[in-house]
Amino acid sequence: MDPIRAAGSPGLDEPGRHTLLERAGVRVAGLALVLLCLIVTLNVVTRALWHAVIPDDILLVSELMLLVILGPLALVTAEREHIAVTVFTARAGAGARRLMACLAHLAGIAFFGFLLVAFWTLLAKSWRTGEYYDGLLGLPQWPGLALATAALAGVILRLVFLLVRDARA
Amino acid sequence: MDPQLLALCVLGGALLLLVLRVPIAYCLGLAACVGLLLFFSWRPGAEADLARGLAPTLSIVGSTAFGFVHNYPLSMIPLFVGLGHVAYQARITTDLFDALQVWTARLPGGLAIASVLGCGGFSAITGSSVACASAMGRIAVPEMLRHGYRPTLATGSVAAGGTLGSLIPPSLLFVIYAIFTDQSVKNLFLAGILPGLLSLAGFVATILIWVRLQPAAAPRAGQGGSGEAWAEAPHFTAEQRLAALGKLWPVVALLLVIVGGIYLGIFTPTEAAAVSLAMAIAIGVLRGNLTRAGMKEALSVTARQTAMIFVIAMGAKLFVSFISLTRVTPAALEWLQGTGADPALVILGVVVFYLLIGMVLDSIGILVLTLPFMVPLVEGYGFDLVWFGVVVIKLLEVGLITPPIGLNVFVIKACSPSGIPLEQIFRGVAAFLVLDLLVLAAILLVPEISLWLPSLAR
Repeated sequence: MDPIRAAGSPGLDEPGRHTLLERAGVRVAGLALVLLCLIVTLNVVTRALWHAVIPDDILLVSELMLLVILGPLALVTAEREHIAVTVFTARAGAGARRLMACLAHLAGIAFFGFLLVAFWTLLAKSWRTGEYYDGLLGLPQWPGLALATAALAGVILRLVFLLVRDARA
Repeated sequence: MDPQLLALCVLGGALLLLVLRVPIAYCLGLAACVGLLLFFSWRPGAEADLARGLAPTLSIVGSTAFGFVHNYPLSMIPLFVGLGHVAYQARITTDLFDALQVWTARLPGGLAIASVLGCGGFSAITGSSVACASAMGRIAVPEMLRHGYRPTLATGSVAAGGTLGSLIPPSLLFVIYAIFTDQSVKNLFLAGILPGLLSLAGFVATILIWVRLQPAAAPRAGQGGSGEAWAEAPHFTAEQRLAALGKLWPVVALLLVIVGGIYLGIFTPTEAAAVSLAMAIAIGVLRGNLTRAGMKEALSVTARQTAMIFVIAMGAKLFVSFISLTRVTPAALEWLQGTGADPALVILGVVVFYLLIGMVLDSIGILVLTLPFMVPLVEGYGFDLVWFGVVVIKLLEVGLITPPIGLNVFVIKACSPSGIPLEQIFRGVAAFLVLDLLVLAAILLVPEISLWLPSLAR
């Protein structure tokens, strides 16, 4: 059992259904975490044994962090797992709770909308200028930014679905 | 518009959304974005122009948010979260409880003591109080109830013991505190050890006193609730005790890697997190306890909890950027210092504030909401931020078991057999709350309890 879910979910009680892509996001995040763990562990071992480190390990881990954090975000949103304060509105009726859920989705769309435009701006700039990270591997910046932008777009899409569903409920 | 007035309006808006059930991440993130947009749109002596404010807002939002998720040191958060879940799936937690059960069998309330010690041990390999309470609750509460323990003692001891996950390193709350205060994670981890052990010892003492006063709360085998003949406790031979001790090696090994490795400077906290997770996976696979399904479940829960934590922290990071620009906290500090308030009184006020807010908000939410305002205040009065971190985390621990929103109590309720009312669990944690407040007073009055170990490691 997931301890966080055991504590109660925000918004309306029923979790949203999720898509194949959203489930894939969680799986990719899990695999990225294992890979990230291996890179850092291998780095410790190679440093201790051969005084050598994996090239651009910090950068590789940072790129994997994007997958770990943003991969499951759409599913977390679909399942209404974001932490909210419910104590003040615990006795609200179904209609009021539906309205509050819609307000929450709108706030989410606005917040992630800001982030999406900001990330898109960064992505467009890095694509235009061909920027890359300093390091031995010369990794370009745009793939990570593109992934992050796509993940945010997915979250917004999910929030729009939730908004429509809750508004019609 | 005056930036400080703008900050207060935006904070008010965020709090209003919070009360209306909008997730904490959205409240903080949206308030910060709107606040930044208004801040850059209003220039002194000029008309407001939203178009002018958009570019700098997007620049700050983009760089801050992307820098926050594209981050090497913060990878310790998913790694430590994952460690707790993998340890549970690999039965490391179960073995820990089984072994402690053998060693505490002859003590009054032995199972409850084993549960609290198990929480302490599990806290050393997981960073979350809720995960700790959940893992130990699933194992220990049914076992205690099966042995005729009173539900108040069975559930209260695990709910309270679970809070140790925040204080004993590795602690997610310490990592989040470090992010928002620019303090060393290593120092914070070390600072939490003695207060954590003090709380642990206090919880054990509470159980002993409880059972001494009410023996029927923890009847022994075959006693049927009278509890007077301790000599009839199950007897384990020396071989059985040694065998039980053998079950502890995974926890000890992980503890050595995390605490020993960080203390001796062999690993950074991020490296300790990765090495310990790799070790837990290896131990689970080699002992045949970590199945493919178990691993999948551990990774799935870890990924979802990580996303949830990071989106809150990202919103909070943006909120901090906005608050810093408005310089509202230096102004508030100046005002407070102008009133000539005694520093001890200020800290007392802070403690009362956290105790109250802890009753209605969850720990991460409290940290990210309050630190932008509290840290400049505490720093301005010359208090040590590592010590203050321990005080805040201890206060958040208390909040985990106080009504009406004691998250650990809800978790234990979910783990326990049906029929145990929430009120009974809250009654059970009351005795531990008294102890918690005593430990809190000790941490406040004797800062060396927190600062001694970090001073040795410098």
